[in-house]
Amino acid sequence: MTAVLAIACKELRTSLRNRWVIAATLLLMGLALALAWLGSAPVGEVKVDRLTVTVVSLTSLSVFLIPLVALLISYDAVVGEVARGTMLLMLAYPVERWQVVAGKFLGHLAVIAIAAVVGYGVAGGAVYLAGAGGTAGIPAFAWLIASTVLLGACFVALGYLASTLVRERATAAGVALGIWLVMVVVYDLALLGVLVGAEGVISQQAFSLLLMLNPADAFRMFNLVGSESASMIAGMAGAAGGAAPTRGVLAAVLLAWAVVPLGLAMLAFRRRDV
Amino acid sequence: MVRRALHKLLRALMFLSHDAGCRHVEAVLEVEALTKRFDRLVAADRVTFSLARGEVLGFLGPNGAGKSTTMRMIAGFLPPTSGTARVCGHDVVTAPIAARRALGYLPEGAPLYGEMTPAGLLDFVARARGFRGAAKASRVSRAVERLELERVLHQPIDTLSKGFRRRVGLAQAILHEPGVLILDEPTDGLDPNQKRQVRALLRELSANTAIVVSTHILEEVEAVCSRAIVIAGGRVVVDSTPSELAARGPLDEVFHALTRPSEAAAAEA
Repeated sequence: MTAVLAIACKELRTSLRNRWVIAATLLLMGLALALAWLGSAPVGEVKVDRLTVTVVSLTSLSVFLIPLVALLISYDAVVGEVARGTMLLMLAYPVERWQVVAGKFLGHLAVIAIAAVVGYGVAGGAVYLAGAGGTAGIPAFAWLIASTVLLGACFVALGYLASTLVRERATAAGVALGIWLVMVVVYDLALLGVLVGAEGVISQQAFSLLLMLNPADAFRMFNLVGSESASMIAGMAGAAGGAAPTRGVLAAVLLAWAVVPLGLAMLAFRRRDV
Repeated sequence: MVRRALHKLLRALMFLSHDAGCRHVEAVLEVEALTKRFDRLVAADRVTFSLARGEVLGFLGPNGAGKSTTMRMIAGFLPPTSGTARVCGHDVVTAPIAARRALGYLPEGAPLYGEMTPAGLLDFVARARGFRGAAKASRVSRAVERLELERVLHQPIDTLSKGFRRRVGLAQAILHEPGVLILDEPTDGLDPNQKRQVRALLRELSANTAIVVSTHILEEVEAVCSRAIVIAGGRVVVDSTPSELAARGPLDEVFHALTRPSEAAAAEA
């Protein structure tokens, strides 16, 4: 465990030094603050607090931005070190290969966690301190931050899987971009196409299941369906009322999306020549 | 049963005292019929030798002879097709972590984390090797002192000269005072003064450590090695001392003769 923590701390320090942490934090904070102020216009219409409206806005932001940041910091983690030769150095120390992957994963996850907690926290704090709303939105906001970290974990793990399976850094970058495009953009469009084409053949339960096959959609449902006010604002009240899965199920889905690719990455790295 | 229990106790004590120098064994490196096949290509063919503390072994051979493959198997990066290697009695296949605890390694070209400082890198290596508190501080300061890194300790490694970078690489390899030190082309690319410094350091280190130096610089073998193994076509063709090799004629001619494909096969026969 100490080796895992040593590697995690090294990764975090490297990310602090090469400005990944500050860049990700400032990006999330800036966009979150902008959305918090600009996106809270419908408050008067739907009679919910400003923080809840901010949750809805930030959920959409997270779905696009967090997977991108997570993939950008993770795709190079293994293949890059192998290419630079430093993986030989790392593996010369008395550490198991799974510990190397686990340590790096924790370090990169810490980058996402710092960016989410600080970036979104500042925006949430600003909205709360502005006194525009009550405390009703605080739990939803806390869940948003926690699930954002979990969403980051899913895509860091997917980035690691790509990084351990390919031989070239450029290939890993391409695969990472492909993962982002498919999961964040194409999947929803394809699902919409299928829904329209099938014309009611797909049941609400099957639709929920299809959404859960994508971590980005599972994250969206977690935040929008889980809170009554948020789902009302986001127009997902219908989904929330029917066959929508519970927050526990959605959290388990997100956790599985983090654990399974990470496990596969550890397995692939164990068999890989360096 | 008593013997097994004593062996376990010894291993536990070694772990607790971080005895990477493995003072309990005579032959600190034993390589037995180490073989690696890549499909039809035999990269290393029944490579066998052993090394005691105080010996500096020059591992010679032309490019593609099987030096790096053999070193990678000893370091535990590459699983052998057959045969084994033991570092301080620890099998690199069945007990790789214990073997690596007793092994120091500097890869070819001394790749390092360029964005880190020597102080940061050595602190990380010490932690990864399980040192804490005073033990960690003592190991780091000893390595810094031996490699004379004091004045560049807080400078990013990327900004250091090649000579200093090589010294940082050596510092991370000797930090835990290993029983076996494997150096892949340690002086490659250094200027004559830097080469001289590294060789002086190797001579100093060899007092308590068995050192394997992979090289194709023949003068290096004469300068620092007490023993030389020539490998060609994946096979050991000569296991001798540099002076014995020098007695056969100029070293480069001896090397050329030994590593020509036909001669290598004859020497093996």
